[in-house]
Amino acid sequence: MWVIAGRVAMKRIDLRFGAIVSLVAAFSVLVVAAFERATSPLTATDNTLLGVVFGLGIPLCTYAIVGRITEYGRLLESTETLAKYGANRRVLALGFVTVGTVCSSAVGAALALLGVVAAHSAADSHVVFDALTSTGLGFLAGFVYCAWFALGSTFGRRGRGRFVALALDWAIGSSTTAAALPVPRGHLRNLLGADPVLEMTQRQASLALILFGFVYLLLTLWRTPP
Amino acid sequence: MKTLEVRRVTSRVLAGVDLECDPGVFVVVGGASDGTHDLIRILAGAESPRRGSVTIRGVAPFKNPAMRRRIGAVFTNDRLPPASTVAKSIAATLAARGDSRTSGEILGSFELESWASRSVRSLDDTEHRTLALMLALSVPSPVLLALAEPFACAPIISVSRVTHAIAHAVACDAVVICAMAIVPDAALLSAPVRQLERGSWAKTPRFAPDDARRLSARAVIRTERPRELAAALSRDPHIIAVSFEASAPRGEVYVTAADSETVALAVSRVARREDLPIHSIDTSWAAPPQTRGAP
Repeated sequence: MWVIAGRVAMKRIDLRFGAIVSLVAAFSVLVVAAFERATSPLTATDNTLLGVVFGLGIPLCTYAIVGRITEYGRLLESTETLAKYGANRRVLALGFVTVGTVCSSAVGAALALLGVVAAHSAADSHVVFDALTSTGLGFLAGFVYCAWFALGSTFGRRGRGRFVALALDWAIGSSTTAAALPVPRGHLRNLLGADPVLEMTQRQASLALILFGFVYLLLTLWRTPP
Repeated sequence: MKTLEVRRVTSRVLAGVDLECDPGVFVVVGGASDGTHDLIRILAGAESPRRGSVTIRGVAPFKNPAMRRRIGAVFTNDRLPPASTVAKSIAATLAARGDSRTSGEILGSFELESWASRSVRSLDDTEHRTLALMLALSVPSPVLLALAEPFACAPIISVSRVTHAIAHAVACDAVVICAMAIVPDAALLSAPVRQLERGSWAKTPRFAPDDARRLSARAVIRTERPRELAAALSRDPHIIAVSFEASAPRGEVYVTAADSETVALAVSRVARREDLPIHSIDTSWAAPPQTRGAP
């Protein structure tokens, strides 16, 4: 059933939708990277990654992917087409989130790689290291955001909790206080060199992201009835 | 304990509805704004009631996938799961149900084989509903059929095909709840009728339950070969419902059609064609003591 749920999720995302979202995000990254490189070459890579890639591109692409998988409604309602016939909703939800994670992680990794390649200057000798690190981080960001928005999709009428999750991430994720602890943005900013949340090290921030990703996923499944 | 127990169920529309049913057919008349569609969704386990409980043989369908596998349900806005073809989409639903039959077998049993290769996206709302009805009526041993407007797909799945499947489900000890907006449709099932009005059972229904029965004619036909007669009549497009009782002293076939003349003509036509002896036709029949679906 998990595999069938995955196929349904793939059909919902749809190749054309995926291509449009990816192209718009990639175009935005290229434009911002070119602007940053022209205005502040020394910090262009950092600014591009912190701003358009991890600040806007990955959260919004993942938000769109999760929205599409849940048919812009609650996760529970999106499982109805198969749950009605006796499929376990938790298994379906797991299948949906798995496909969402794979897609958003791939988009995240691709956007991070594109950001580094497009924003680095010719004299930058760390471009390969930066590209590899950022790609891995983009992959992790895709996973955590997907789980975070999936959890949001279990709240509110028509899954409006998903929008609240996005708003919370933007509103409190940039702070360094305890409020930023449960949202992905603060830890991702820490890993990109910005001020850490609660003075956490980058290693702790990585572990926190992985841990929170799985906690969000478990909470999502817990909130979905069988 | 009743097979189906609905206790003080509330939803966006329903306001504390109670219902108890043993195996048999039960018709709920009312529009979507009266709560009929909410009731069907809650009975089928697609939605949880805000308050109250629904149990089928003591189990809540909303939280029990195994129970949902034995429920056939049609909603007003039913959609098949997305897939490249209808056959693949139906295969997914059969896998969800744990049904070992192929989508070709299911489509074939409703003479819809030609739809197998169609794209799910090309289906309109009626076609989605038709396939959902087909899946609901093909549940192997159902405990509940919860059907919203089961005759709405009549051009594609005939009324007699639906009533046949309902009779078969009842013979398997299933509860069949049909939600219908208009009384003539309810009359086709010759079953007890209750009216939902703004989320509650109507205290003074706009029609008496027996009014529904008067809108169709029924007859009992006595013959020595009830099974063959019932099978032949079930293929007649003018017959709405047919069932038979083989254990009666001289086998009995129960027939429902639009009027008594249609019953008589169909029976004489089929009897002559199949060379079946008919002993009597009784149109004063009220309700069969125990009916069994025709093969």
